[in-house]
Amino acid sequence: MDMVERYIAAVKRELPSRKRDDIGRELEANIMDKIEALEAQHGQLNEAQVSELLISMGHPRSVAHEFCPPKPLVSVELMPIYLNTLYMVLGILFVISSLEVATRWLSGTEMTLLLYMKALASHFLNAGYFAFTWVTIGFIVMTRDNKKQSPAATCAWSPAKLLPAVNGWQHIRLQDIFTDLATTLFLALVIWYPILRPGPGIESIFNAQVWTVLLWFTPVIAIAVMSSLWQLRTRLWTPRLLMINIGVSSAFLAMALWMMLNTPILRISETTWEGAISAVNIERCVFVVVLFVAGIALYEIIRDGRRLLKLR
Amino acid sequence: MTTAPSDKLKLELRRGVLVLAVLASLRDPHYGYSLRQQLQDSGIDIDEGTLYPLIRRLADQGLLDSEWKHASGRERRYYQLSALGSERLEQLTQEWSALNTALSPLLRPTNELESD
Repeated sequence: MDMVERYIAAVKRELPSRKRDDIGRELEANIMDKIEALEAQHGQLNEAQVSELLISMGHPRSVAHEFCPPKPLVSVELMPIYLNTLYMVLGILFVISSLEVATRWLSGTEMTLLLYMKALASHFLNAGYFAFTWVTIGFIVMTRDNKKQSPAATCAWSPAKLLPAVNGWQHIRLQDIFTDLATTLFLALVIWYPILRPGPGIESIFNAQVWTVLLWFTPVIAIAVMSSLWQLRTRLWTPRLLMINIGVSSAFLAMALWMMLNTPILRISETTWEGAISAVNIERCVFVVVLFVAGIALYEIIRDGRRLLKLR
Repeated sequence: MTTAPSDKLKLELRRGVLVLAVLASLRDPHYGYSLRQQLQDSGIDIDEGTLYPLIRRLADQGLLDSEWKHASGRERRYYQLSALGSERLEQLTQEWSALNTALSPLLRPTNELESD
């Protein structure tokens, strides 16, 4: 019977401590009943037969899970709200990280673009781990307290007030909104930093003519930010949002084309970049980036134009 | 080991019915193994891994009373329908009868329906 005892001990190890003895006791009684019934039919059971019987009952972990099914840390009812909260928090943190690191990058003298990317990733990951932990702990506590918040209970809604969503593409992904938001705010910060934080050695990275035009371009950036915030609220492409996006993309395309025609774009001195990359190569890289921006803007104009036609 | 789709459907169909079968069988006291034997004799084959946790869940819900009894050097936990369990059994039996009545015409073969 050593094998039976070991089997019961293995099941008990997988059980919560408060139920361990009770379930173990009952399981033992059930197994002994089964052995007794088999012995009444076939005589004394040998080790192989007992082993076969225990195998037929299932792996100790499966048996334990049948008695006490493992509970998820976050309940199924709370999972959609949990994921939404997590995406929102991480998205906001990404925007904040972009701005914080950009501020340090612009005020520093030795921070290269590569170091900026590294600092952004590091800053975002550190903040992300912290946020992920606390959001998850919060939802674990809510699950434990059994505070189930069904969508119907959390906000009043009416089917008639729901936005029409005929096409799958009309749903705007959170990550797209936050990426756009971080990009536009980053651009605004790069343009306005020398004015917002004046100081010795602080000057715009753009050449004087490009910088002046970019300053006048700020209202377009503001509209883009407002549009992203509106998208965050509706999460759905409407004809009005599409028209705004086409307008913003057209302005970005025009600006990118103008910048490509008015090189050099950056104010670069060889000493600023430690001589690691030549000024010509940096200018060439920036030109490619601006070309890429123009391509993206053109793509968005065509895409949103077609979507607008479909909606009408 | 994977379960065939038809087996999964069977399992789903049986799951709810098993509760009814267990509650009905426990009008008289039974311990785990004897309950399984009784169900098997009635033509309901139920896996031990399903039956024993199910009895405990029903007891936790207050539908069954349980008591440990000692006999010939062995101890066994006996389960029997509680007052709440009897009430629920009655409700479930009515539900089952209503479902059965509604389902029977639907489950008749097509040619039998046409001949009516």
